[in-house]
Order: sequence, then structure tokens, then C-alpha cells
Amino acid sequence: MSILKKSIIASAALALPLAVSANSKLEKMMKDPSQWVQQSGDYAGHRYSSLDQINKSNVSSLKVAWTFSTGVLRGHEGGPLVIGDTMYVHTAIPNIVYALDLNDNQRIIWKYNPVKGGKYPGGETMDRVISVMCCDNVNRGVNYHPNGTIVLHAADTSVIALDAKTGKEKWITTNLHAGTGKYGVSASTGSGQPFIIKDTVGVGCSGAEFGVRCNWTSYDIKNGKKLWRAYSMGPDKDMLVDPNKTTSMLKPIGKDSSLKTWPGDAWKIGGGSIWGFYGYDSKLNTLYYGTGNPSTWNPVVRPGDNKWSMTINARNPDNGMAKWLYQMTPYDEWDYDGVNEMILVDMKVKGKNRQALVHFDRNGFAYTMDRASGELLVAEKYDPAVNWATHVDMKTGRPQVVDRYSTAHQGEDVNTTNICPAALGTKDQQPAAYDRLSGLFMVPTNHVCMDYEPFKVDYVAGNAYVGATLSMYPAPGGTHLGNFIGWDADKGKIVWSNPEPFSVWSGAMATAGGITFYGTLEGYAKAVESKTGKELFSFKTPSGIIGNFMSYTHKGKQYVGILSGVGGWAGIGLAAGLTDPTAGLGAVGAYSALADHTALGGVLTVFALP
Amino acid sequence: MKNILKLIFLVPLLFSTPTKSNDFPTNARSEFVFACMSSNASNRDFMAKCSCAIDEIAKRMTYKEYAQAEAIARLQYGASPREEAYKSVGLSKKHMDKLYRAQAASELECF
Repeated sequence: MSILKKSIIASAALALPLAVSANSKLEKMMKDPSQWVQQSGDYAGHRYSSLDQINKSNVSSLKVAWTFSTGVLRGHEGGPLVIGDTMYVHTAIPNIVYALDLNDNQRIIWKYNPVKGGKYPGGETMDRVISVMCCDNVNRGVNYHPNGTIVLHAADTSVIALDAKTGKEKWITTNLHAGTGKYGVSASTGSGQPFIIKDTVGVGCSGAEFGVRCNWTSYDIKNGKKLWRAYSMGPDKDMLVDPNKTTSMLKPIGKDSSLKTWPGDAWKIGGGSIWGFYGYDSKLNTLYYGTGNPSTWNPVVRPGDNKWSMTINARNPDNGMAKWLYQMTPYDEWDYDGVNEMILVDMKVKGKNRQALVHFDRNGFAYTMDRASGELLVAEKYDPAVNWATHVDMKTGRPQVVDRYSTAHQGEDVNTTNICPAALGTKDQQPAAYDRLSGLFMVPTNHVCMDYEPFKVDYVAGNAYVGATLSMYPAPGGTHLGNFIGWDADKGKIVWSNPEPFSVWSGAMATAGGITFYGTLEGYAKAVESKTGKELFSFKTPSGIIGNFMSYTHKGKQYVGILSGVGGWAGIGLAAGLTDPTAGLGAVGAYSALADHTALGGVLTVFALP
Repeated sequence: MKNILKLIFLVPLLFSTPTKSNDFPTNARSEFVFACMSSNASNRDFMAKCSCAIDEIAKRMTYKEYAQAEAIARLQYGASPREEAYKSVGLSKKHMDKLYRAQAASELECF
């Protein structure tokens, strides 16, 4: 099939009329390329802009149009939204939200900070919440509901509905209290985007490192009332599965499908966190998300498949019932969280038209599924370095694990070496983009291997529950730690691959200009030709980039925006001495105070043609 | 003959280190001076010393190398698994060593 036909099918699917008005309004806005109304651009997770003013012939002359300092240090994931003439920018903890007036030199219309008097709405202190964040202080962005609401999923798991015009709180509900003891639950945190479907907002949870049992919870957008909650593991009624109707690999999952795969009560602290980027198909009325690793990391203490951790979930967003489930990494031994984004594309797979779901998993396999039936169509390695499994058995859907790299097979207190990929996965949460022109997927990847030594831990609520020591290094035969690749999801093949010195942790965006944007850890914002990967533009932003690119127009002109911000302010480290922060160029011990140098934190850089 | 001539001219280029390029953008130098003054003293004396230091560093490594060292330094502030990855890798050590040497030299020259 020609590339042209492929893209016609993709856009035809988006153009179908919809039954529910809130949905159709939001979907209509998603089709308007002058705005960027959801974190992934659209429900299908294409991260594609149909704007083409900036294109492969002129992108090399792209210039910085304006910048905005968030005033917050540490990792800035996700990206801004543009609704009409207003841009919404979020930050890492404390999760400030800014509304900027694009008509008035980005004047701050309102600023919202959920932390008041050092505490989050759920009652926990900011310091306590930071102490149980697994992976930096990140937040993956706010989302918009067409009733005029901006929703924030704060780090303490509070879901906060703000009036988009004024920034005033409409309602707040704390999803899973982050504390222990006081609330009798474990250390869940919030980092994933709140996901808007119809008149609901759904959130996942983070914290599989802290022995939580994670879930997806859906709330009424009008008042924050809880509608349903589906746990990643446990009894059927907790998971919202129907033993006879919910399928996996096209067969009913049967009774107690999860309980049977855990020793004793281990499922109660089974992990399975949900914090990536999700997909929704309004025609099939199905929500798609992935669940993360089972806890603890030490596989020896949890023999069994540990269902339904590491699983692609297809659910009815009205009542949460699971339509189908597919577990990518049964009995995880490496921390290959299955949380990565779900990209929904109508495309030809092995000669047949499919409503496909494409997912680049941490475990190094890229999966192409039939998103209506849950049939597994393609499962191939998207980094040739991947070695923990030889292949995925297409009959059973199970990866064929190599004993040499099985940490459970090797046993507790044995250092299993040269496992590829490392626990970061071949790709982490940073979302790939789908280029509707070439039909290729633009994928930011890690090229990192590891040694992994599990050890026994006794669970103490609210404390890190990891049970493995890791060391990581570049994949054999090279010194680079990342690649940015073009992927064919039908053939399951890499079409082109650009090596990068560091892992690529930014989200990509493809555009109708024939180009794709991505960022690097050194802070370079890059544009490549989508078809070939040829680099056309590179600009050094002030910090490392782990945010996601987005595009919009203002007064008819196309802009491209990206958040940068990773870790602390390196400048101070470089100037004050690296080995011993107090021993630098005549430093006078002012270092610790300077670590709070927030003026040099995250920056939003917005590009335009001159 | 022409090719041999070309080769003769190219050989010295191959052996010269790429670190002579002195290609730091003003913005990067300014940020260093700002940081350096912040951690020492915000006066004219340190403005001179810190400016001298970054110029000495820029003589000894390319901006590309500096940017990579900067990325590693930045990541070392975090303690999550993915940042951990960068504490042990050979790449980190190589670039950091180069930066340490440049820093030490700049300290001798300027302070």
C-alpha cells in the first residue's frame, strides 16, 4: 500500500462523527493544528502536527522566538498546552501551573501552586513527597477539558481541577494518599498526566518501588467524584475483569487470573504502576494504558507470572471493565516497566488493514497489536543489542528468556552481567511520534546494558522496596548511550538510526513539514528529516531536554515549543568544583545554598522562523 | 602527486587535538562566569578571575565536550535509577577527566 493511502486511512479514522458531545468537542479541537490541546496532541498519541510552515527546506533557519523560565529546578517532562491564545505550562515539584497570554508577550495570566505552607492538598509535606518519588521530581503535564478546566495530577496524587480562565480551584481530590501510617496505605505518588475522556478524568499512580498496588481511577470532571477504580493485580472484582469476556491472546482469561500467579498475598504489594502516556479510541470506546513492574524487584520472592503487571490494558472508560489484556513480560526480572505510550494507527499489517496499537516497550520489543481484538501481530526488537530474550513466541505471546540473562535463574546475591537493555529499558516514558507522511514511527531510545544483582528485602510500608543493585553502561561495541530511530511497525524493522552520545529522553514530534523534532540530554533541540533521519537543525537550549515537543500557531505563524530542565543547575557544579562541591575555584562553602538556584531551572524555549 | 601533497598537509591536522577550536558560545561563557561569581563573590575581582577561568577551559576542550560534561554533572544531582546510570559509565569518566584537567589548569592560570 502506498504511503499516501496509509495517511488517508489514518485521517479518515479521526474524522468520523462521535456520539458524546464533550468528546467530539475535544476531538474537534485536537484536529485543529493551531492548538495543542492534550499532552500527546491527540487521543491516538501520534504526536503529529499537520502544520508545515516550518519544513525540511527552511528548518535550518529556525530561531528562538521567546523563552520562559519556570523558576523550578530538576526534571521537566511533558510539555505545554495551547488553548486558543493561552499557553499552559507546568513544572516539576511543586507542580506549579502557569497560564501565559500569547497575545501579550507571554504575560502570566495566573499562576497556581498546589503546595501551600509546605504541604500538598492531601496533607503531606512537599519534602515527604519528594522522598518517595522514584525518579526525580517530574510531572508529565496538565490536560484540558472543554468545560473550561485544566487538570493537574500533582505529586502527592491529588487531582486538581482548575478554572482555565482564572486558575481558581474547582475541586481537589487526593487519589491515593502518599503517606504511610496516618492513612494506612503505601507511598503512591503522582507523575503521569491526567487523562480526559468524555466527562471524566482518569489517573494512574507511581510507586512500584515502594510496594504499592497501583490502579487506574476515573473521576467525574464536574465534581471529582470517584467513578471506578481498576487495580493492576488482585481479585477479579478489584481488577474489573470478566473471567469469561476479558481476553488475553484472544482467549478468555478465566477466574482468578491474577491471584494464581502470585505467591500468597504478594499481590497486595504487587506494584504495576501506571504513569506513561495513554491512548483512547472513541469509535471503539476503549482506553489503552500499560502497567509497570511487579514489586519487589527481586524476582526470587515472587515466583509466577505476576499478572497483570507489565501488561497492555484495553478498557471501557465508562465502567473500567477490561476488554483485553496482554502481558509483555511475565515474571519480570529486570524492571522492564510496561508503562510506555500507546500509539493508535490504522495501517496495513502483513497485508491486512488493521486498527493497530503500536507500543515500544521498555523490554526492547516493539509490539504491533490489533487494538480491537488484542491480537498480537508483530513483536520485534527495536535495538539489536536486546539480549534477555531471543524472540517473542507469537502463539503464546511469551518472550523466550535466555537463562544466561535471567536474574531469577542466576539466583539471589548473584550478579547477572551484560543484560541488554538496562532497567531504564530500550525506551523509557519519553513518547515516540507517528509520522503520517512516511508511515514511520520516530522513536527516542536508550542503548544501555546492565549488571543486576537481586537481594532479599523485607517490606516496610512507605520505604523503598527495590531489592536489586544495578550498574549500567553503554551496549557492547560502542560508546554511545542512545539512538533516535525511524521504525517500520508493519515489518518490525529499523529503517534508520542516529546514534546519540546520551540516552534520548525527550518526546518526539513529527510534522507535515517532513521533519521530526527531538531533544538530547546535553540540551540540543534537533530536527531531522522524518524519512531518512538526516539532521537539519540543532540548537543548544539552557539545560538537558527530557520534555516533549509540541507545535501551534499564533496569529497564523507556526511555533515549536520544548521544556528543558534536568537535575540541578550544572553551571554551579562546573564552576564550584565537581568532585567535591565545596572544593572548586576558591568556593566559599556557599554551595548548598546555591543548589537552590531556582532562577536557573527549567526553561521553555519556543522557536519560530525569522 | 597532488594526493601525496594533500596527505602531507593533512597529517599534522590529524595529530592536532580538536580542542584548540575555542568554540564556546558567549552564552555558555556568561553562564559559567555567573555561576563562578555566585559561588565566590559578586565583585569585579572575581568577574575577571572567572572570565579568565572559562577562557582557559575553552582553550582545552571543545564546546561539544564541555556540553557533554555539563550534562553528566547535571544528572549527578539526581539519584533516580536513570541518573545512576551515568555515574559509572566510561563515557562520563572520560569527559569529566578532561574537564577536571581543564579546571585545574584554569585555576593555576587565573586564581
